[in-house]
Amino acid sequence: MFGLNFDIKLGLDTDGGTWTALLFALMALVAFIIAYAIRSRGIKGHKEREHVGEPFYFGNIVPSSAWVKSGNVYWGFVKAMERYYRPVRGEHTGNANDYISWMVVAMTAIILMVVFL
Amino acid sequence: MMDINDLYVRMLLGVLAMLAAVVVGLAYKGIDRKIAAHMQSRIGPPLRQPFRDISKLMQKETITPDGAVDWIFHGMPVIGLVAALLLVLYIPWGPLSPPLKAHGDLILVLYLLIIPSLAMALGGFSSGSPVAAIGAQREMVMMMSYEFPLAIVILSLAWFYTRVLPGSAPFAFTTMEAAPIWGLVGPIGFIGAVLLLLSLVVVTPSELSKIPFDAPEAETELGGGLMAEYSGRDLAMFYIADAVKGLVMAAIIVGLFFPHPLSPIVEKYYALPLIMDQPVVAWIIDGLFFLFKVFLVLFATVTTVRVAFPRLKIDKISYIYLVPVSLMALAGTLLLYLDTLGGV
Repeated sequence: MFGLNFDIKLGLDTDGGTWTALLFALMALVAFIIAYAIRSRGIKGHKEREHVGEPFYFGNIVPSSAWVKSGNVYWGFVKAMERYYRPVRGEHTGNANDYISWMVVAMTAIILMVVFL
Repeated sequence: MMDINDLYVRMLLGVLAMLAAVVVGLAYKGIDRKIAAHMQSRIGPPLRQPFRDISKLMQKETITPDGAVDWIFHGMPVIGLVAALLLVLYIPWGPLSPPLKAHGDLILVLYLLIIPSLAMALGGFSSGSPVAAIGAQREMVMMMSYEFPLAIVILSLAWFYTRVLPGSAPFAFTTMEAAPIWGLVGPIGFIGAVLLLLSLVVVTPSELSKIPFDAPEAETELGGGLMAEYSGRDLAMFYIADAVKGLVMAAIIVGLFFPHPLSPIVEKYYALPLIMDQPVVAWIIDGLFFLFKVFLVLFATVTTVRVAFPRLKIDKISYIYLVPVSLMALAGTLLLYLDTLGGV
């Protein structure tokens, strides 16, 4: 159209993969405009009335015990890998000497693998 | 160096592809619901029901729960849809190569796939509802579990292409399109490729939060889970993002494993040179064939699976992906490796 050539520098181009970040950002803006245009066709906000903003809890008042505690955030993952975590948890003694001995053992194993394989 | 005219055309194609993906994604959702209903001996909603759902949601109030983090709660649905739309730009659509094919590859697709799920989880956490927080917690656990086998599949395929076709771009869909994996493998490698395909097939319903991997939403247990507090246009955004992501996931499977066009076969066996000389005819045939392949993939990975299986508990889901599916994907990788050694 204009007979112009240009080189987009703001990106990654390696033997393995490519990513033109500038173009990505530009198209993200276009995608945002499309998404926003669709969204703007909907009704904004809601009429104020009793109980409208209360969180859904099957018709009950939310008890304080209903929340996911931070210790349970990964429940499911930890439960699934219980057979792995149970023995590993025992090794976490809190004693720095134990951790350093594990590091020495692991590094020795890696060096042996690198030397002999 | 890049021709600016070509870039303009590609960007325009990208915009059209994004708009088309919304319509086609919703249409596939309608087909999925209709077929699932028939499988359960129900009549089911009409095919245009997803469009009606969107239209209805747009007319509903958008309620912000008390205690919600306002900007995250309303921002995440838009971000989820933006990420789903961006995915469309980097995936081949049958006879159409990816709109931005030279500007991003499978690694980018892998990252973008995470964003809609992450947006849903963040939206759930920010909603100020314990039910949504449980759903969001489950979504995060599920993501941590299925991303591992998904990454193994993508990396194994890329590694295989670097071994078999040195010098090719291993993460580009165009490489797979030019030389589909089934033509490059021996008998051992064939089994490996089938195992990788199966792994991806198992990951798909989880990526889309469909039964039996819909623990984050779990309508009968959590009343919608991380979607429980969403309403109106925000819920519509997630609904559209889900439709687009479903289409994208099926297109990824087709692009990686079944990129074959139909027009050469039609030309060869039905000898229609007069018609086939017209590129537009071949384009239409390949386009329709691509849509059919996407339908088959969605039918096999979503519709049939969600009708046939009950919902699994979150720890079971996590275990399935972290152990059996990951091992299956690793076995596929090993078999592909053995295949590249030759003479096996």
